[in-house]
Amino acid sequence: MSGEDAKLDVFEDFGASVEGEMTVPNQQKSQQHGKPEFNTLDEPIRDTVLRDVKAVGVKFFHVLYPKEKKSLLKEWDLWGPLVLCTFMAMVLRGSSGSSDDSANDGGPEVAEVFVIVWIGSMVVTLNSKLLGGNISFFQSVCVLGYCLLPTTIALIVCRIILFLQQNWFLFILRFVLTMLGFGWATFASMVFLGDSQPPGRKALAVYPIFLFYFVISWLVISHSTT
Amino acid sequence: MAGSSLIDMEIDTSADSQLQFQEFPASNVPGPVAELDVRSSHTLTFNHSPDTPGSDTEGPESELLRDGPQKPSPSFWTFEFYQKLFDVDTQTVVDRILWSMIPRPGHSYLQHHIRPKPDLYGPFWICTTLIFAIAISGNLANYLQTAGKDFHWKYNFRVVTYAASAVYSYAWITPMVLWAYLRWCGGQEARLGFLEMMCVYGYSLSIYIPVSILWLIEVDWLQWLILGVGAALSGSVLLMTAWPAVQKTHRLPVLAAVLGLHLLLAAGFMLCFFHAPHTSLTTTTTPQPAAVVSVSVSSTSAAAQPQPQH
Repeated sequence: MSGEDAKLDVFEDFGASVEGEMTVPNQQKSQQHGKPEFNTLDEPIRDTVLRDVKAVGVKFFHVLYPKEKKSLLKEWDLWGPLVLCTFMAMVLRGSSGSSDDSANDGGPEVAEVFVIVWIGSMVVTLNSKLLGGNISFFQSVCVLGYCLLPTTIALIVCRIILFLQQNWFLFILRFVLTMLGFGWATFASMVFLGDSQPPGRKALAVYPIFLFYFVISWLVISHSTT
Repeated sequence: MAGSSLIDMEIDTSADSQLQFQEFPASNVPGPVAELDVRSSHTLTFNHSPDTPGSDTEGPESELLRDGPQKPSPSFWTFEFYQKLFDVDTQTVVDRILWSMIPRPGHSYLQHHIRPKPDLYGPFWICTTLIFAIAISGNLANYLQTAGKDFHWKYNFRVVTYAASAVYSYAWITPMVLWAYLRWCGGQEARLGFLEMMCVYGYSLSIYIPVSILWLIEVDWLQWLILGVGAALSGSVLLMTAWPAVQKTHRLPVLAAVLGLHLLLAAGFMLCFFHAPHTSLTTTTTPQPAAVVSVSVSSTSAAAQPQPQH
């Protein structure tokens, strides 16, 4: 008994033709997101739109309660980040006017917010890929964009608070809310992206994410009305 | 059968040969795969087994790196080239940052900390952090300077773009100029590579991050003092790096230029973002009381004049 022999079966050419029937199961389910199906051409537009909206909504939910990791990563899309980024840019931009000090708010322009969010996500993703992480480029950009949701919520609440007459207490409240949004965003993105880094470099990969959300939170807290 | 990865070996009961009972998972054998002849039994020793001390923390990547010098280095346009530049661990980066702030006279920062593997992670992220640290502290300082007065403060996002241009150009162009100079006019004793130069410069900027936060304290002489101490500490590390590479005749002006540029960068930040509103505020507030006084004088004199006529 020197070991087990491997068996190899070799078949001659069959010669005759092979026939059969194929049934594709689950043809009605629309869960295969990116795969082209004939049905989607015929369905009403409302179904198509609602399917994508539902996918985006599910991802937002997973960001708010980051327990399950797979869904954000496996089927990435960039609709959520685009919506969040556009919304934040519209709210955060400085009031219109030239660089005349009296009229200008001094806040970032719309394009500057866009640059910070998108180029920032790309740089952070590139950094984690260069450090040896095994996550795809768009998955990481998707996660970083979706995790902007807590900071956007903080921005909305701060904007509502800004309608009242400002005093120190309200400023502290805004500050605390912004810090909360920042911490939540960083924690959520770490849950999704944390495993993909080699050990010993986790802090190196997490720090840029921290810096990214810190800068965005600074933009949120600095925003004020004239 | 072909998918199974276990090979069972018969343990020969003869006294001379004892076979080790080994498992060979097919996917992650760390070293060169050994071929086994299962008919004869012999002892097998492995040099690259994962149990050797010191290799517990290293993953499969380190094995490839030890074979590094034998592989041709990847070309400039591939992703792997840049991956080699980011091949650092957390502890390495922390060490490099720490020692860039503390000059040790006999101990070349370059030799001990950077030399075998310069990285670009540190310089890039230190520059980016510095930009935002300056922008945020600058805005905060501006706010604190105008807090008590009746001045409606607006935050200034332009600071980020100005700081970004200044820091990134300093971190790229100065090492490039110094490297080019040393290459064509320098001595042969110590050759400094371009990446090493950029690495040292990048890490030497790291001291300005706590310095920019300390600049929030609104005391003039303290700000200058902090500036001087910071520039001296990291400048001396820079100097000691460049010292052996510069020829004796040109040593003094070159090193003075290196230190001077370092100081200039920090002084520029301090003056532009942390200092300026001091003077502008005092000049704008003083004319106002005079205007108010003159208006009230003219109004009382105008009011006083008609009265004697009545």
